[in-house]
Amino acid sequence: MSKISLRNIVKKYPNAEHCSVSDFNLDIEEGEFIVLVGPSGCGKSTTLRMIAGLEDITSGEFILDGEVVNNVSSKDRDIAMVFQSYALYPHMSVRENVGYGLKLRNYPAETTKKQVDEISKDLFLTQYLERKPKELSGGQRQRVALGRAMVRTPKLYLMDEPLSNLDAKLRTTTRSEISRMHRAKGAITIYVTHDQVEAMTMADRIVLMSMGEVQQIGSPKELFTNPKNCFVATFMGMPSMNLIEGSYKAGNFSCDSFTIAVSDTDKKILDDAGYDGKSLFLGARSSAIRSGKKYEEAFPNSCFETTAMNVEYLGDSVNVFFNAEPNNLFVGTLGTGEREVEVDEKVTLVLDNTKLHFFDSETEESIKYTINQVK
Amino acid sequence: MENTMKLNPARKTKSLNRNFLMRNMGLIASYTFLIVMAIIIIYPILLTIMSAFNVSNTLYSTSFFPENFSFTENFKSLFNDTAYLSWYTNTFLLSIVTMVLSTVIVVVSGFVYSRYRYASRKSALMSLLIIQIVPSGSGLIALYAMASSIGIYSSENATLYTYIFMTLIYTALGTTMNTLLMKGYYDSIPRDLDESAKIDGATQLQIFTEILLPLVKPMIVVIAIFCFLGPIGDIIMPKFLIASMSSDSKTLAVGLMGLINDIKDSNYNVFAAGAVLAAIPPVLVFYKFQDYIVGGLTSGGVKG
Amino acid sequence: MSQRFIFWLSMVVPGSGHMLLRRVRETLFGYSLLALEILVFIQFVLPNFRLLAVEQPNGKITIGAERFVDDSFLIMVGSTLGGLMLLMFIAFHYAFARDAKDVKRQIDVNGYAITFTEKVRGLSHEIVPNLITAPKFILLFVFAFLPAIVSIIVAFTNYKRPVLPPAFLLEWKGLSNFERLFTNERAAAAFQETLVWTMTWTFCASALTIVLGTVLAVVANNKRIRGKKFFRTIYILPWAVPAFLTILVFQLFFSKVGGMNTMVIPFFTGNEYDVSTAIGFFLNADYAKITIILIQAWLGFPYVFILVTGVLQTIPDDLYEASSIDGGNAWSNFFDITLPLILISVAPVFITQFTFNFNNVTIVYMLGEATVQTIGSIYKPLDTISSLGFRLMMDAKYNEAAVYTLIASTVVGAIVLYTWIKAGAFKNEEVM
Repeated sequence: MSKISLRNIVKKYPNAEHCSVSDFNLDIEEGEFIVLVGPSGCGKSTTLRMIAGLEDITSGEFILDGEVVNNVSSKDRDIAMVFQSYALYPHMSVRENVGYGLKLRNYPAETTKKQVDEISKDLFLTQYLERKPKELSGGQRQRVALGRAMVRTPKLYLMDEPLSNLDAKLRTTTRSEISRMHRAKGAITIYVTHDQVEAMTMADRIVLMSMGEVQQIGSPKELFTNPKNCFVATFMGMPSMNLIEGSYKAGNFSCDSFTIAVSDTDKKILDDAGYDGKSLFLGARSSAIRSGKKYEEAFPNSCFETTAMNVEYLGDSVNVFFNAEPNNLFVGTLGTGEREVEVDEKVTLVLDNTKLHFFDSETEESIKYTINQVK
Repeated sequence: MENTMKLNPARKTKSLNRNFLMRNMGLIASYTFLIVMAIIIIYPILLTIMSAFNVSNTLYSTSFFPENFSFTENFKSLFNDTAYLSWYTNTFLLSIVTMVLSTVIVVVSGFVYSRYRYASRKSALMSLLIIQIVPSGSGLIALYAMASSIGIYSSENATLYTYIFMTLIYTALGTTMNTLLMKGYYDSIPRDLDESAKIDGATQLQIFTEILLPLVKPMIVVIAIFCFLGPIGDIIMPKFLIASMSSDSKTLAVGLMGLINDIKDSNYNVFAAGAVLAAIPPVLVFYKFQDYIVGGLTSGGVKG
Repeated sequence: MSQRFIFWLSMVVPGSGHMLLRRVRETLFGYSLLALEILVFIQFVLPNFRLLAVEQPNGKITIGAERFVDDSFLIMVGSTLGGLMLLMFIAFHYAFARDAKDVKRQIDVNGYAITFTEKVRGLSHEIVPNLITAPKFILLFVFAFLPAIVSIIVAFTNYKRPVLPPAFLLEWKGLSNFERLFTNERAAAAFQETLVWTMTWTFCASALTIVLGTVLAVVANNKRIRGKKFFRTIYILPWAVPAFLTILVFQLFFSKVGGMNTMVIPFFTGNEYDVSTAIGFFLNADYAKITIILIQAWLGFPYVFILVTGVLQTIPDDLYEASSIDGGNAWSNFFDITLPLILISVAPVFITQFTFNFNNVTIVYMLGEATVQTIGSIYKPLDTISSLGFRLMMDAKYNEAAVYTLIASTVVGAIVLYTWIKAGAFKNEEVM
């Protein structure tokens, strides 16, 4: 039996037309790191706040350790939470901030002190213990917020965009810090973010939400390699997946700029699914877009002419934005070992047709999703 | 222009000099203005303080400094010939009780309006807003008649009951605008803190006492001071409600006003002594908490 | 049996709608409410209402029937309470009717409705906040709202010495107290004069206070001025000292034997002080009016000074830097940057200055005591509408006082309400 179950959770604010969260279902096993990700306003924070007991659950059941805890107040749910704003108590020192939860739970002063000292050492906060939050830097505040959650050993850790107020460099180091802490504590962590990189790097399982609905639940690899629909496909991965509207006929995909042959496996799938002669979306990650003699020879049936519009230099690789006339824009990630592309240069692109995705043009659902899942 | 100045050093110095003088003219005018205003403010106050130490038999004095200095004379006659001491205690008891009552009510109800969401919340706030439009003096007639109808003036403890009555009136009047101010201040404290404390295991009461109270302390101080100074400075209500009572029952404002209007049998210097003593506590409080008051005023006022 | 039928049935007899829907507890609750209402009505509301207007043999309509037996004033208060109770009963009935209709609707739609226990549980989070804030509302009701209502009623009676209950019965006078101000020639002229002075006083005192406070703040906050702290300490003194003290001090200061005559005027003119030529500033109506405006400016400017200082400190320096790059000088800095920013932030506070001075009884009444009533006039030269209300009250002419207070409150209320509505205070989440 799962440690945590969320069954048909719905959140509808009074006077609101639509549900903020509709029919959310999730079972979480012991020790899992779950990341709720999605664009702002998708309902991920609301879901987290319902789990925390900060919002009422309109309908559905939240089961913790086999008990329905919908009406149990936050303080009795045995959870710890890190807030986006950190929510440090401005009038308390770092020591008091970190120890406040223990104090409220009537831990002896000795134990509290020992535990606070331990966690502070772990988070390099020892020398700041007597300072007030406003005397700390952003990164230090963030660590205090983390320490305040980590000092206890609750059933569940909740994190609401804890890294969004940090600069890029700190974000990377703190990210691994959180992962390390999670492994050490082994308790379930539910982490909310809008940043798919955080989701990919930290999660055991990702829950991707949009407009209050769950789009897909799965491991980072699953979401990346087998997106359930166009939304998942474009949300995960940087740069975003290229989607080209076109039609399929007898093993060939054609759009207004080019026609390419799909792979034999894909041809069988598409034919079986009855897409022959129908319109669909072709999805290609930037890594499936190649250039150069070697690839032209490997995939002779999926080449087409484009113009390079803009080049972003990333160090090991470059992102190149291409325009396939009349108006199909592409982004491709080329390794520095491949040919160098200049702006306005005419380039022959190759689609690695073993790595393509196809989506129904009406429902935007992935056509290969169930087949890949079985595999 | 820039070029000519570079080419012609003499001209540059000249224009700089004139500029310097012009600028100083402005500065001198500014200082003059500020100092004159300071004198206008300080002069009557100093004059009163001087008079408090001047013992004179004439009705008037033509010299700023005491002609006949005595440190205690005026104060002695203040305490011996008038009921000053009981005015003093009456007034400060009234103010302090009012302050405590209204501050408690304001702090608690501000918390409720800021942190609870309930059906009648909006109408409660709206009625506060409306009630405070009504000028506080408008109900005096009815309050007086109410007090006499329920027998406050005819009872044995008339003074005590009148003061309790006044305390309740001041408390009621002091809770409207101040509650809205207080609520605004609570609103400026992020709700994240409440939620964080809730998850840390705090009850609603603990959130109030341990998290929010320490954070709204500046506003509590401001409101306490306003509620304290209100009754001390008010002459309207006591003048009307305790006018017919014995001298012992008066407040400082009523007593001193009586003293000055019966100037024949008293003396300006004694009044001055009384005024100086009466002004000390409020002025001290004001200066001690000056920063709080300024802060509270600008945060509330500028928001408007 | 429509929802509308259930609604109106419950509106008339609370609980009956619920009875038709077979909701036992709500029905009992509603019926006991009705019983309580009837009891209160018979025991309290009706006896008060019955005595509210009694026709005497001489044709006069009085409050109460018999002297010494009925206290007209208590009947007035009781009737007001009774009227408010009736309103409350209607509100209760409405709540019952709404609930009954809601239950009916739920049954129509779902086939069932939430139970009484669930309903009570749903209401439980409403109880705590209302309970905590209840004492405040009781205080406000008894000491602010009820007196204000009763004071309005007094304006329509003959409540003035010697007609004091319970020894006398109060009489209804209709609008005659108001009419007098316009029809009686002398009263009308005096009222007009008072009105003009009230407006002059309100405008001049407020404007002078505001201008003085603002100018001082701008000058004192100039970067090149040193000793800001010193000036600020002095400038808030008038605010720190209780106003009644300073008013009394000034009353003496401007008297024939006060410092103005004995020291200040001799200092500037060089003439020796002489009682016979001394100016009694409050003995001459025009001097008194100018003096009181100056004194009010003295008393009131620190508030504006502090407020504007606060605003000035929030104006970022780079605004001035940007303007100096654009070629601005001190004048244009003040008129194009400083002044507009001050006005935007403190305009609402300036409006409260106007209502404050309109309503400012303390200084007008206290200094008014030092003035002399002009022969043949019923007013003193400094009387404003509000202070007159208070002075008449002190003279136990309660009905006339109530007329003035009512006029003053209406004016102030209208102004405040108007500015709030214009500022969107009622829609603004900040305020709410």
